[in-house]
Order: sequence, then C-alpha cells, then structure tokens
Amino acid sequence: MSTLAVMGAFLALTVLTLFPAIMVISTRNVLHAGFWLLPCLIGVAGLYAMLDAHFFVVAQVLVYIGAILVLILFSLMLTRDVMNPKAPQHNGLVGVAVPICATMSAICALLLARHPWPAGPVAAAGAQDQTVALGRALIGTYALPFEAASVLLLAALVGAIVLAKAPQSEPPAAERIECPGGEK
Amino acid sequence: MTVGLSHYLILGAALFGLGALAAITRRNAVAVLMGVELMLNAANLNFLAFWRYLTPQGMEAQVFVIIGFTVAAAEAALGLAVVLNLYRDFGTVNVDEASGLKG
Amino acid sequence: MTSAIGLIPILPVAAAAVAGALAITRKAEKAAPLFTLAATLAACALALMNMPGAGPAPHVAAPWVNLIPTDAALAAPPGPTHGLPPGLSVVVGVTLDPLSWIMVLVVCSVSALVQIYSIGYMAAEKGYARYYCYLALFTASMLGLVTADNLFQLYVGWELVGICSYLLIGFWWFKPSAANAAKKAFVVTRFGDVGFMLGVLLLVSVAQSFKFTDVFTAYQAVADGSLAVHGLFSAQTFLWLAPLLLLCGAIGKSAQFPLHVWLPDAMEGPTPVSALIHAATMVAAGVYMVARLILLFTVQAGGGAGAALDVVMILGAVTALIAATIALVQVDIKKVMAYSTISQLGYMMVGLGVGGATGQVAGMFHLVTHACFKALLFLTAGSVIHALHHAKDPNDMRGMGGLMRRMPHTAITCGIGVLALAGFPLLSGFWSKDAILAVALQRAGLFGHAAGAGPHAQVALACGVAGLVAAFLTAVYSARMWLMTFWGKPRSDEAAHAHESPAVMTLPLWALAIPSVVAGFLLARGERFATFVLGGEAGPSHENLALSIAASAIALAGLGLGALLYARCPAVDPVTRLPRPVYALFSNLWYVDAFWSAGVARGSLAFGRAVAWFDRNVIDASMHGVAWLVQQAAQGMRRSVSGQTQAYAVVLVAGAVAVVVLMTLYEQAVGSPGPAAAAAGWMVRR
Repeated sequence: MSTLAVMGAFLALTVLTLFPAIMVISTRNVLHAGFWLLPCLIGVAGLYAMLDAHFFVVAQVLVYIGAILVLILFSLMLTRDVMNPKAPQHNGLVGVAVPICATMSAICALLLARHPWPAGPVAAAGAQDQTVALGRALIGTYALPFEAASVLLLAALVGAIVLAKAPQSEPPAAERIECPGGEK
Repeated sequence: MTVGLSHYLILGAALFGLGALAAITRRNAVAVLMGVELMLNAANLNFLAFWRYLTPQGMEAQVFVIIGFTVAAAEAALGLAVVLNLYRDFGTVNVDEASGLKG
Repeated sequence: MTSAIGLIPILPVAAAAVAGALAITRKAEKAAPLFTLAATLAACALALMNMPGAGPAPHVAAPWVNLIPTDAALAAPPGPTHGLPPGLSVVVGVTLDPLSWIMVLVVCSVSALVQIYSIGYMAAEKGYARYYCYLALFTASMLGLVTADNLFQLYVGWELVGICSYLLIGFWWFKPSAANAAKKAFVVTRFGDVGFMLGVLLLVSVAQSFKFTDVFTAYQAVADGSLAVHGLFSAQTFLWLAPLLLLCGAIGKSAQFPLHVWLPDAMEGPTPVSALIHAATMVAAGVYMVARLILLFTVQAGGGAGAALDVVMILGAVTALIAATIALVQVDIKKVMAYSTISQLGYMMVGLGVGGATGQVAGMFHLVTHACFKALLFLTAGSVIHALHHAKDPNDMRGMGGLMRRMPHTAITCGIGVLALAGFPLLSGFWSKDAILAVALQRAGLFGHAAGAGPHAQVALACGVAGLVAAFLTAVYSARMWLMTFWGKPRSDEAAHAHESPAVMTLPLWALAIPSVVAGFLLARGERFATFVLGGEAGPSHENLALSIAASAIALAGLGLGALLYARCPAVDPVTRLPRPVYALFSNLWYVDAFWSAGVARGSLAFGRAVAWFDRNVIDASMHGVAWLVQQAAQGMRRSVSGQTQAYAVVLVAGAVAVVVLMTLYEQAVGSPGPAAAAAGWMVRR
C-alpha cells in the first residue's frame, strides 16, 4: 500500500472514530448516543487493523461491539423511559469540563507530537505468529495477570447479579419505585 | 508523509479527552459508562500503537490490552447493575440527582 | 528562758487554731476567750521575763526558706540568682530589742484587755469563737511583725495584720457597709503596700540580705560611696527612693494622708476591734516600721539634709491637721475617734520626721501613750454604744447626752482618756506630745538647737506650728465629744434609760485609764523611755519648761473653748456655725474621699470599661472573626463536597492537567528533559 493510501485510510478511520465520539457526547437522545458508539468502536477496530493487531480487531468486534455495546444498549432501553427527553442531558459542569478536557487533550497531543519518535515501525510481525505468541504469553509468562483478570471478571459478574437482584429481604416499601426491568 | 506513532497517540489523546468529557458532563449514568468505554478504547489504542512502533517483539502491551478488555467488560456489567440499583433507589438514572451518600 | 521567747507569736497562733476549731464545730464557743486570753497573757509574761538589758537583745531564730540555694550546680550559671547571693535565706524568729519589747508589751496588754472587754461586748453575738480566732490571729501576726529582725518577716507580718484587719472589719459580713469597708481597707492599704514591697525588694537587692543590720550597713555604704548600686537606679536615686517606697507602706498602714480614707470606714467593725487594731496596734505598725528603719531615712549621701525626713514630717503634719479639723465636725462618736487616731498618727510621723534616735524616741513614745488612751477611748465608746444598742444609730452623739449619771465608770474613764488625748498637763498625752513638739521645734532652731542630720529647719518649724494648731483642735474636739456624750440631758429615750456596762467591760477601762494618766510621767521623767529605747544610753534631754507651758496653755485653751461651747448643751451644734466654706470643707472630709472615688475609682472604672470594650470589640471580635472565617471557609469547602461524582472527576482531571502543565513549564525553565520526557524516553529505549 502506498504511503498516501495509508495516510488516507488513517484519516478516514480518524474521522470514523472521532465524529461518532463527538456525537456520543452531544446527542440529546441517549439511545442515539449508544448507537453512535457503534461506528466509533468500528473505527477503533480499523485502527487496530492498521496496527497489524489482528487478534484485537476480532476481539474489539466481538467483545466491545458484540457484548459491551449490546449491554449498554440494554441498559439504555431499560431506563430510557424515565428520562425526560426535554430535560437537559448535560450537567452544569460543561462550561468547566470542556476547557479542561480540551487542555488535557491538547497538552498530551502537543507533548507526544513534539517527542522524536522513530519514524516507522521497528519491525513487522506475521499475523499467525502474533496470535500464537500472545496465546503462549497468556498461559506462560503472563498467566498470573491473566488469571487475575479472569477472577476480576468473575467477581464482576457475581457482583452484577447480586446488585441487579431486587432486594427481597427488605420490606416492600410503598415509596420504592419498582424496577421496570424486574417486572418484565 | 507516513503515518507515524505520534498520529496514533494524538488520536488517542483526542479520543480520551472526548471520553472524559462524556463521563463528566453527561447526566445519564449509562452515558457516563459510554464515556468511560471511550477512554478505555483510547488507552487500548495507545497500547497497541506503542507495541507496534516501539516493541513489536514484546508481549506486555498486548497482555495489557487483554486486561483492558476484561476491565471494560466487567465495568459494563457492573455499571448496568449499578444503574439498575440507582434507578430502583432514586427513581432516576441522572447522576447529579443521586448525590446523597447514603442510599 | 531566752529560748522560750520563740513562743511569743506561736502561742496566739495555737490559740487561734483552737478558737477556729471551736468556731467551725460550733461547740463550746464561750470557751474560746479562755484559750486566746491565756496565750496572750503567756506571751506577755514571756516578754516581761526577757526584758532586754544592756547586753545583746534576746534572740531566737530558725532558718525558714533558702531562697537562693547554695548548691554549686545551681549557683554556677550567673543567671537564675538575679544578683542575689547564693545561700540567701529567710530567717524567722523573735528578737526582743527595746523597740520590739515595747511593742510586744503594748500589743499583748491591749490585746488582753480587749479580749476581756469583748467577753461582755460580744456576748450576744453570733460567731463568738470566730471573733476570738481572728483576734488571736491578729495578735500573733502583730507579734510576728514587731519581733522581726529582717525585712522578710516584717513584710509577712505586715500582710498578715492586713488580712486580719480585713477579716475583723468585715466581721459582720452580712452588713453590706461592713463588707464594703473591709474591702476598702484592704484595697486602699494595698496601694501603699505595693510601694512597701518594692522598697523591700530594692533594699534587699542592694544589701544582699534581709537583716535590718545588714540593710543599714549596706545603705550607709552606698551613701559613703563604698558600695555600688547595680541595676536600674543610680546610687543617688536608690538613696532617696528606697525610704520613700517604705514610707508608702507606712502611709497606707498608718492611715496617713492621702490614704487615710480607709480608717474611718473601718469603724464598721466591732468597737473592741477598732480599739485594738485601728487605734492601738496595727495602724501603729507603719509608725513602728519607720521608727525601726529610721536610719534609712536619716542617712543621706554627702551629709545632705534629709529630704526623706522632710517628706515624713510634712505628711505627718498635714495628716494631723486635716484629720483634726474633720474630727471637729463629726457626729458619729467612732468617726471622731477614728479621725483623732489619724491625727495622732500624723503626730507620731512628725516626731519620726525629726530623724535619728531623737525622732525615733519621740515617735515611739507617743505611740505607746496613744495606744493606752486611744484604746481606752474606743473601749468607752464601745461601752456607750453597747448601752445604746437599741437606738436607730447608736453611734450618733446627737442621740446621747447625760450619760454621766447613767454610766459613771464609762464617763469618768472616758474623761481621763479625753484629757490625756487633749494633752492636759501631766497626763500621758501631754508628755508624749510635748516630746514631739519639742524635738520638732528644736530642729527648727527654737528652744535650743539639735545637731546631726535631719529635716530642713523651715520644714520643722512649719510642722511644729502645725502640731501646735492640731493640739488646740484636738483639745476642742475632745471636749466636744465628751460633753456631747456624757454631759447635759439625754437627747433620746435610749440614752435616758441606758445602763452601765458589766464589770467585765468596765474593769479593762480602768486598767487602761491608769496608764493613760501615769505612763507619760513615769516614762518621761529622767528620760527613762529614751534611755531604754536607746539601749541604756541616755538620750539628750528635750524637756523645756517654756514649751511645756505653751503646750499646756494651748491644750487648756482648747478644752476651755470646747467646754464654753458645749457645756450648756446647745440645740444647734456650734461647729455648724463655722463659716460655710470652712464647714463644708471639714464635713466633706477635705474632699479626699471624693477625690479617690471620683478621680481614682471612677477613673479605674472608666479604664476598666475601656479595657472591657477593647476586650469585647477587638479581642473577642478577632476571635469571632477567625471563627467566622473558618465557618465561611467550611461553607465554601462544603459546597465542593457535593456528592456529585462528576464534579470530583472534573477536579481530578484538572489536577492532572495542572501537574502536567507544571512539569512542562519546569522542563522548559530548566532546559532539560523532566519526568514526562524521561518516561517517554524510557519507553523508547525499550
């Protein structure tokens, strides 16, 4: 691929990532924002592909889009009807947060851009080798962090179940608003 | 002009800033979670960019990204549970209305 | 037997403890006088058995406190001793030199007689044992004061008698006037005591010792220039300041102008107390102190005439005159006597003001005779008041009259006291007053000439003349008082039906009347008193026939004038016919009380109010301001802890940004890669 094509692909993916991200922030309808997350994540997956991280392209699509985004959309749909669409979707911190976050991004970008990074990739690696090497690393050198991550995941799942269960031991309080999800 | 490491890093910084902005300013708790997901994505992107350009032979970056994915998944699951509980207790999913420290 | 004199002050203390125990337990209160009287008489007997002779004075002492330890480790750094020598200690003990011995006898005898008298006078009172406890305590304090051979013990006794005076004036504490009078006496004398204390400290800091003899030596050495004075003052300043500071104490304690205002108010106490404390003994402590330390007043640098003695003499003369004029117009029998006491104390000061042994003898002589006849007068007044205690104001002479027939013992003894006070020829007051006038006028160059250091001749002349005028006034008011009380017809029902006091009260009157008559003659003849005080060394004779005749004439003229005016019991008191401004001046106490209350007390109050205002509006307000500031800050901080997680997140991000910005700026300022760049570089190297 020519350099120009690579640059064009990168710019396209940048737009594909950042514009939906902006929409995620600014859209009034939260469900729409959730859907705007989809192209954003796909753009990131594209960037992973450009970085030759093929395993993570698949993982991004499967885990983020297939699992996390669906979960988020579920949450939105379960709670959407209580949100008054006329009510402001942003809190009073916008005026403060926008300049601060902009400064943060700008400074990071500035510092990183000014650093004399190597011009190109030090070396390239084959796709199969990579995935095999990652698999070996996960059950070899990095078995402990990997297992720790799985324990974290398990704990999160158990915790989610405990939290999501309607409190049955407590007396049924009239003032409590029943979870619409529980009714279903 | 080739695509260098700094391009990815700048993109990651921008994505992270947008995610932070979403996490800070959105009132809806689920939207806040979405902002956090964006930030995690930016971090993952940086990890992979560094891996690709600086340490292509190493495995640390990729393992970190794996863990980042795990954290994202766990966060999404727990986030949903918290949002549902929040909704149950306060009758709203607006984070700024749920400011009481005791449920 | 000499060592037993240590018991002289201790016995009354023990008796006071017993009486105090009786007072607290409220058991057998009537037994209290037995103990206190026995102790007082025993002390008196001990003193009599140890009369100082030609040899060294009987003396017992025990070290009390080591103020500056001798321990080398402590003494090594020069700082903590404050210039006082290591090993400086306070010795407590009893020294019976002639001066002390005389005072011990006066105190013990008057105290004993007052205690006997009080058995009758206080019979119906509550707090009988408490009264005797205070009396014994006072006696012990006074004995401790007069037997001291050092400034420390003198000062301790000085303060103790002040406290006893406070307790006894306020004996009827439930009467607001008595409570106020007690406070007034305590506070006013405190004015003088501050000066006294400073004087003691000044002397001790120079003399490096508390002992009188060491103090005299050091003072003389400073005057000679052989001892340097270090510290705040030059030698010259020290020489005049130290005696004047001591004099401040005497002014307060001996009720000299202008601090005399507490003594008339002190008459709120029981009358026997007035006789003991406020006529015979405690108020004489100031005179005694000046007499004891007369060398300090007399020694002057370079043979210069005694400026300190001038002050003593002028103060005494002014006090004697002013108090005599006030006594002239008082209608309260005890107030007349109170002002008379002040006047006579002024007389003593005039005598002391002559300086040296001459002044010492004259002042002390009058002190002794005055103790006899003034205690007698107060006790007779008490007898009258006791008889009239049903009257609305038993002290008011306008409600008396004609008591001569009803109370012959009281009337006759009072008459003797009045004549002694007035200086009737050959009675005790005549001799002692004569001695004072003689030494003063001789110092002035009249009736012979006195040698040695002393006050200026003009001062002595003026004060001697003032003494003569005061003697005339004394005779007049003495006659007025006696005639208004005992002569003519009763002016109230109570006076008409008064009864003579019981024997327990009249016997002490007679016991005091006898020395009032003969003491002067016995002591003055052959300069016996002077010889004794000076330790066997005969003093120069001051007897002068011309002066004696003049003084007698003045006394008789005064008595005659008084008799002329009051013998027919006029309906209107003749003193009110004095020219209006004069009468106003006298009856308003020369506006001294007014000055104190308006100028000093109000000023203090105003100052206190200003301080209180400052306290409230500046000090308190600044505290409140700090509290307010903290509260406001807390309110502001509270707003930041809103529970809004997203607000916290903003701060978190802002903080991170700030750190990065600062690090970047640092790197640029230093010109070398900082931590951020270092981190990036680490990754590159990997």
